[in-house]
Amino acid sequence: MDRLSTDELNWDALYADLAPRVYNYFRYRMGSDADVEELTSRTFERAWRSRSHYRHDVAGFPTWLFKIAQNVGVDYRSRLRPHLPLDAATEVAGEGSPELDAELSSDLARLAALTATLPERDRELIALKYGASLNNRLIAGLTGLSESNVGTVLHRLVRTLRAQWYGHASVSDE
Amino acid sequence: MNDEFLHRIRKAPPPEFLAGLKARLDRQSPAPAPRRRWSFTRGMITGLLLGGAAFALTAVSLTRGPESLRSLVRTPVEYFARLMSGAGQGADQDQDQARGQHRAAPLGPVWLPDHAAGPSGQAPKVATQSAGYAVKQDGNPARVNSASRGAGSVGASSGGGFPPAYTIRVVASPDAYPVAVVSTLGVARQGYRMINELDTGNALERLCNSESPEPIEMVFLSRRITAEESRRCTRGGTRLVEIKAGYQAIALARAGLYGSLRLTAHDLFLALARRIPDPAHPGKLISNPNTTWNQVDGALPYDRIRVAGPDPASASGKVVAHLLLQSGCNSYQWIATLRDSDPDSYEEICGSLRNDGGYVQGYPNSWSFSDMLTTNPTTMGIFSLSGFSLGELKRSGGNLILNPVNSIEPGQAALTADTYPLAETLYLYVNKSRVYFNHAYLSVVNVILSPKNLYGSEPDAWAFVPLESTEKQAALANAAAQKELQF
Repeated sequence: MDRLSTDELNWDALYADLAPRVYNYFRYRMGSDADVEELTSRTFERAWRSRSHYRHDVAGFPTWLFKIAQNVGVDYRSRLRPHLPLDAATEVAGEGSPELDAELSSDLARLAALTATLPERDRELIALKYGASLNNRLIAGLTGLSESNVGTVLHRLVRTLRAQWYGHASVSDE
Repeated sequence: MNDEFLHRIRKAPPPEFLAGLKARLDRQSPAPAPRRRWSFTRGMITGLLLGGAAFALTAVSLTRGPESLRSLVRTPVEYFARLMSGAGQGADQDQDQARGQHRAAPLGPVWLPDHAAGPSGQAPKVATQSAGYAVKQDGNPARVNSASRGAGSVGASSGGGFPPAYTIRVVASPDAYPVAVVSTLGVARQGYRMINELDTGNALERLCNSESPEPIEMVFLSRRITAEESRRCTRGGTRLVEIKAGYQAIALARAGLYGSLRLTAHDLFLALARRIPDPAHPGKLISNPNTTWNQVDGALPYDRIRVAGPDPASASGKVVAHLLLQSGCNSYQWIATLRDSDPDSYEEICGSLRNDGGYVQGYPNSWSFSDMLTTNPTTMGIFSLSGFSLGELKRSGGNLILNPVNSIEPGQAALTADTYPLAETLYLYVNKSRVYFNHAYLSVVNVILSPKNLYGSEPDAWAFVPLESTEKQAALANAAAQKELQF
């Protein structure tokens, strides 16, 4: 995306493009749908309030917005009270009603359970890559890693997660 | 790298949430721009440039050169000299007039007309064309900053910057509202603005009445307007265009273990409505006492009634309630007549799902929904009759089977023939004279007819089924030709 100044930005088009990405970034990052709308709202409201501070000569708009989203996420997690580990939730799923089963055993909860033991950095990479659908260059700008390093780490993460997802000890790389 | 399992967890945010957040943002003003500090280096460079320019001007004015060049240099010098000597503006003007020169017009915002197509449907004056041209010169009419928008409307586009010729106002009935909200984002992506409002009962009045204080260009309905409504609308000279916009349809499916149930729309109403007519006193309503299918119809099995679908409080859930219950509800003549005589009661009876366990919340867009149905073979699941959900059924590997209703299999053919009871056709009604010069008109129609989400070609709005290609071509041709509705 071209780096346009604040006056040139087509806010509507950016909103249409980025709102679903921010929304999914939080879903992947938090591992559930709870509070995702609140966090997405907080991100856009913060960005909107300070959009005149956006410096197009420093970063592209998506990078700037996701930096805000990252900060919103960090604030949120730091204020959260401790919860049961996510993988404990999957053990409860079997004795609930069908709808509770559906919720707890959803794909998102499954991913959350698989990534619960990963380092923060790796979970952030997964959320930026698959939730926000950002390319490796943008992710590198947001995480401080090099672009090639982002690719390597993601490749390793996906291979591990795929093996766990499909329940195999090892899955051949395609 | 096979990472499809990670991609598929993504989902589109609820359209109501997106539209609501956008409306909130549009109501907020941005903070003022920060003042840039002048760094020492920047000040030094600016000073040097100004000094150099002054030196060059002085040098040129002292050097012999062509008369034209010297007069060019002399003009600002004389101007400043007059200013310093106290010469007034009047003297300056007199001098200009004496020379017969024209002053340049002051710089200001580009003028745009207030009304491209007036509310009364009059054709715009020449100014409309110049407005369109003025915006198009920029090459992108969407490059206008957002501004505040009137309360009560939901739109995904920016506010005051759009001239009326690039804005279209649509009022949608509650069932069509989710599709319309999704469309606002698609329209915004094309650089237009769609103001989308929920029908509060006077949509047709606002569309048809040339003197309405709140005129609109389009109405989006989940039914066809009646002949009487059409007559009332066209009585004052309004010309209506009817465009078939798609369908809303759901399908019932359950595990193939016990086969499908022979259900009718009437059975579904008796099984899932919160209140049903008392069998002993058919004119009186009672809380739904049916807990097994054979209580609804003795020919059905002795299985517990359990149907899983979207949260009844969500927009999708409301559409489901409407589609599941309405057809069976209308089989009671006295309830059907309430639709005109007492719409609130009708809506309460025919739009309220039971909340005692017969209808349970599920997550039809998740893969685990299919798993849940497979492991609970007597539970019936509700799927959107769109490509996505049908794809889910196919991916279940034949474990799930679609359940016919009134012996009609759900599918595009049944939708086109209007025979499937858990579906309804969506229509757009357009005030022809108000869209004649409206640049957004065809774009809005196009987006509504072919909604796409950000990740592919599936419609964002749950239960929305687009027209099949030949129907869509016909609808678009009808929209472009603005063929008038004839009853």
